[in-house]
Amino acid sequence: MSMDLLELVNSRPILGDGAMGSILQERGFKSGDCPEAWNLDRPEAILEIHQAYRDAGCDYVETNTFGASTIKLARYGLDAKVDEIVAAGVDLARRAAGDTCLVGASIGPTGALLEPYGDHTRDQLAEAFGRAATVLEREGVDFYLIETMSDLNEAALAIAAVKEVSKKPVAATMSFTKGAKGHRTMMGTSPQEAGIELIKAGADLVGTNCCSGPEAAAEIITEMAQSTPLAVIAQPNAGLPELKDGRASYPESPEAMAEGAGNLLACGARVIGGCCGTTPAHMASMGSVIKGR
Amino acid sequence: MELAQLKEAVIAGDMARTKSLTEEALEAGIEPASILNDALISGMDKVGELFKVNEIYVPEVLLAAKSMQNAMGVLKPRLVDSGIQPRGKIVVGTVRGDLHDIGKNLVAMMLEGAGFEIIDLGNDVPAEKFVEAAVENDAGVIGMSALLTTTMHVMKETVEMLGEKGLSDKVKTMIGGAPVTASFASEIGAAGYGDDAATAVDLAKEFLEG
Repeated sequence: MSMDLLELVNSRPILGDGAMGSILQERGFKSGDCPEAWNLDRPEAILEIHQAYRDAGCDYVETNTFGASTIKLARYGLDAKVDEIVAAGVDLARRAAGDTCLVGASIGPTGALLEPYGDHTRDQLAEAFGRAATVLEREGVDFYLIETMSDLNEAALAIAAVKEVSKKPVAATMSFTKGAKGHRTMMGTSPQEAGIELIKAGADLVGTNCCSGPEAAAEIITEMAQSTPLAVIAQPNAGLPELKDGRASYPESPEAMAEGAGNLLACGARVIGGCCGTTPAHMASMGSVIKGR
Repeated sequence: MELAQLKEAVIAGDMARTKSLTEEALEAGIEPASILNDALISGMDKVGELFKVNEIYVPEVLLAAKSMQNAMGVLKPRLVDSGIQPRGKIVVGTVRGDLHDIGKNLVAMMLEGAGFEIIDLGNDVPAEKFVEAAVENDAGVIGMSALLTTTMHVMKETVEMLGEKGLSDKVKTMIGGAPVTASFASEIGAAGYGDDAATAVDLAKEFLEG
């Protein structure tokens, strides 16, 4: 693909990637396993998932590196393998993407909290993000997607770490829950504040992911758009999970997600993907609406 | 020295001030139990209320809880001297296969702030370990957390194991975490579901104090 993410977004609405984590379970992923370790242990499974999303029409696939920071990998005793895990993640996504779609580098939260409320320093987080970003850039991704963030400070550190090593576009999305005061992250940030601060930190595009569904995403994007015209990314879950026979199932059908995608377009979203519970079938269905316009 | 100032310092999450005011209160001869109940726990109660209605969020709650912990470092020896017992013991942990502990830590800190003694088993905790820890420590409540939908079944296993050992009346279970719902709690027979850390404190009070 010759256009970069920003050119693409300016030319037409684009279909983002679908879920990785919730799909792994169908392929024998056991609780307690490290999802990113599959880049080394079950590379064929990761490759097939990327290929299925490419074939569903996704304009980018995201590397399976969401939790590939030294801080998070240390919980599995895998921090020493971070470079290998990240490099394999880029390779698998690139092999699936070919010339058909872009490769987005996924960077999720470390799972650690910053001082003074948490026990990690800014330097520790910056170092962890920097390590992953260095390998992602070296291996050759097309853009960065910093996602599922709750803490603006952590998101800003991730953006800065990427900017330190790369000139490629950086997208940043946060995860909000609706409470008494409306949509807020766990740390209390509103969509409007998130929009302002993420752009200030250097993000090229902003938005939300891992929210309860396309309706919530539409509300969040609408609010965020009040503070920045760059609030264009929506990657909602296929609804809230319900547990059936010990397994999680997500209630929204591909058709319902496609309808949600149409509404998101009307709200100004330009990059519409899927988070937990979405499948290639969901993405294909959403694509028919997004690319049909 | 007024306890109201100390209570305000806890609510504001001012760690240094909470500690120094606790020291002042002890020097002024205020009963340790009064410092604990009328300032620290009362302050954390207020924090829980504010959190529940979204007036404050996780960072503010963590700072308040850390402030209280700071104060407890000073106060605890004096409480022990005067024979003050904790309100009850609670075992907490994130279930087997799940390494997410931000929510569990928040709940543990809030419960501690309410005056309970916490036995924190960390994350990746199997059912049998929850049950063993409750028996060993004579805890009246087990609190379990999960962020992943794939690990929620461990909560059910723990509830069942308590039932098999005839401990269901003696040890109450409460559960929480992003994918966990009230209907899931009732489906597996857990005694309670907490939508947030403040609700977990309410449940613990209900279970241990009636």
